[in-house]
Amino acid sequence: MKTRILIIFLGMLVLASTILLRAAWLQFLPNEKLKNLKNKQFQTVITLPSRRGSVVDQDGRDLAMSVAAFSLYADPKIIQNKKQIARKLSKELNLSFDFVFSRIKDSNRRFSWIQRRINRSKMEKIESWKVRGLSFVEEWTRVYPNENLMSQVLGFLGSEGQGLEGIELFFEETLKGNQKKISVKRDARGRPLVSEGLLFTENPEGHEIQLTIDSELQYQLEAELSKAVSEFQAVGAVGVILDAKTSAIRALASAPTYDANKAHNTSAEIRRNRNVTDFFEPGSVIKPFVVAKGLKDKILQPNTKYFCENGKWKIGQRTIRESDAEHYFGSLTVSEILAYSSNIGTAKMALQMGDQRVRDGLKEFGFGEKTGVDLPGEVKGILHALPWNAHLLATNSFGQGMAATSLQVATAYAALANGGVLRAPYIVQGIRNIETAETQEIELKNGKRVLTESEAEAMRMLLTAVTQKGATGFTARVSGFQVAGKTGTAQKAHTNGRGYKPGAYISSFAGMIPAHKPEYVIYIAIDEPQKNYYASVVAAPVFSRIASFAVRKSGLAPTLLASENYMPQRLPAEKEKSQDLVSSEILSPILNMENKILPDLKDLTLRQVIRKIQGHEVRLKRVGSGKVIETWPPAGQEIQADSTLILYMKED
Amino acid sequence: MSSNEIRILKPVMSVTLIILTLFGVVFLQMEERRLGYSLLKLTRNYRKVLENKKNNEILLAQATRPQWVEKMAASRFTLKKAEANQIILLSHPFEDSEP
Repeated sequence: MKTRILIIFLGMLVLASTILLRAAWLQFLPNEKLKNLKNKQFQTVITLPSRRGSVVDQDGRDLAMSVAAFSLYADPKIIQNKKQIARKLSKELNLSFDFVFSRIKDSNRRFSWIQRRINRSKMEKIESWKVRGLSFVEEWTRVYPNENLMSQVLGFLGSEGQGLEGIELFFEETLKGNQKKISVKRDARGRPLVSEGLLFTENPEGHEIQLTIDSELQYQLEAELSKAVSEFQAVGAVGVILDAKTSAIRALASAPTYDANKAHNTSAEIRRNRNVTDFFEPGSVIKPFVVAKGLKDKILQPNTKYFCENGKWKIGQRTIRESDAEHYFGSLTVSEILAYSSNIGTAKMALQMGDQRVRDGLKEFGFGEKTGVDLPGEVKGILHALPWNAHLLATNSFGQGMAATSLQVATAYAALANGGVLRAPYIVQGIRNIETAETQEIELKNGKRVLTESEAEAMRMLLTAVTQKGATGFTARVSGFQVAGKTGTAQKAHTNGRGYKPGAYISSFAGMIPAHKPEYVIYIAIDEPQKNYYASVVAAPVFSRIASFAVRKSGLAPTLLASENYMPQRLPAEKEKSQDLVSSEILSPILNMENKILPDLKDLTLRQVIRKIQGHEVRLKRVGSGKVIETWPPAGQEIQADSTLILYMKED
Repeated sequence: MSSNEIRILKPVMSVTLIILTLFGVVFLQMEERRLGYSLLKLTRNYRKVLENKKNNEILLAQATRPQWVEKMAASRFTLKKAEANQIILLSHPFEDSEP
């Protein structure tokens, strides 16, 4: 008996020891498999989707931002009372009953989207019904609070939140950020347990992009382009405003435009950013670059004369005419050729220079090359390979037979404005890391010098002649500011086949303001205006209104200089009125000046004198030339209204 | 209390201390769990507030967009855009002179 008891006891002891040993084995010795099983049972992974970074303008105004939205999906297999649920959902989500019911009626399906990206209040209401089989996924929805404003530049997102156009596409990686995964413990009901300092309050965020765009200027540009399109019944219009010193893009617009929040309902034709994707024959706005090359290579001077064949010139089998049939010119100086936009004059300059030199000149100013702007879909335009026959050389010199984008034209003018350096235009000013609050400013790239300072200044002076009375760009003037620029009325090429489309023109104006120290470079092009096509009637007034707004917004003081003092040469129309007196119409509106004591003008040039006495209604009489040696009345005396100030001048 | 009595109480006190410690540990764990749920609720509310803030930023951006401001100025305040001939040019009489 005792032996039996002992055997049973020993058997039980061995069994218990084995169990204990096994338990200790499992508990204390490391085992990856068991650890993973345990983690799977008690831990859950929370995915925090990344919020797409915002896009703001130069002043920090929001242009594109992301907000949380909730996408509703169903598990049709476990939904009870399907018809009743479909009725309630259709009412809440403004969907048709048939649509919702079709999504949940098939009990074999385990997943079906009902509606993507609904707002929080609707989500909370549907959740309060506590319907088994209806769940939500948190997503982001993109909002463009300014709707139509710069929609072609900003672009838009696809249904999965990926950038499809514009800034959204070009900076996809920067904006989208990375989603974060957090592993946390969960309770029996699957709720995450907040422990070990793990919080999931804030989603990771993509970088914020700050643009160089000025929203107000952008709006003004878009409004004026739309107005021009409707006024002249045009097909469309494009406009660019660049910072003259840096080539930063201050505004970039094309009309018609669209609401970026409803991009998917808009045709691709309207959605594309035509300033970079479309090239066209720019017309006479190209002429200054031929002149600039001629000046640079010392082939011509501003006062070099060319015979303009009285309006008709035969080159080989073809005849070149002036753009305006009413214009017939005899001999014109280079300055006048630009002012009156003579095709024949420019063609003669080009022929004198030769095809290699003209092509090199255009290439130096960036034509036929991409500008390198940070926007997608940029094209480089067309600049034919050499050799050019005489006719092609002539037509290229006045902007036909070659093609450029509006941004290329504006960039080339910016080189004239900033003292001769061609800089790549750019639209992103800085990229901000939201999590670290660090901002990476985009460094200004060194440009390529294409003209000397003095050559660029000479070009600006020549272009100032274009906006004087009697010249083609007179309507581009802005009261109180000197404008330098050039009109362009270009024939539009057939998109299919050879030749030009009858009656189709691109009317444009490229210019800078203020001419003596440019702050803005503005290019406006109106596509196929129907009511009138001359740039002086269609594009130049648009330029004037936009430039006027731009200088006043930036607080630039008007320069009340007489126009003759900035002109390299007076135009024939002006010559009739020329006198030794340098009187100024634009001085006269200044009244009620308190200080009317004549300052000391000794040793000043005529230009310096005019700058010094601006604001007074006086007429100047000059005796001699050079620097002032004496004045009448003398310095310190009061200047009477409408009195004459005599300057006795002598060369050094 | 005699040393004999203390010797008798020692095991009881030890067991009591162990039991109290165990209860304490369990209580603290429960408290941690409870605070965890409170924190979870607060973080959810915080997120909601953040989202509200973002929505308000959108509303602000919509209310200050230039086209809206212009529309309001024209319709509510009967203002008009200045024409070129309405702009008065002002300039300092002598830029280089002392004031």
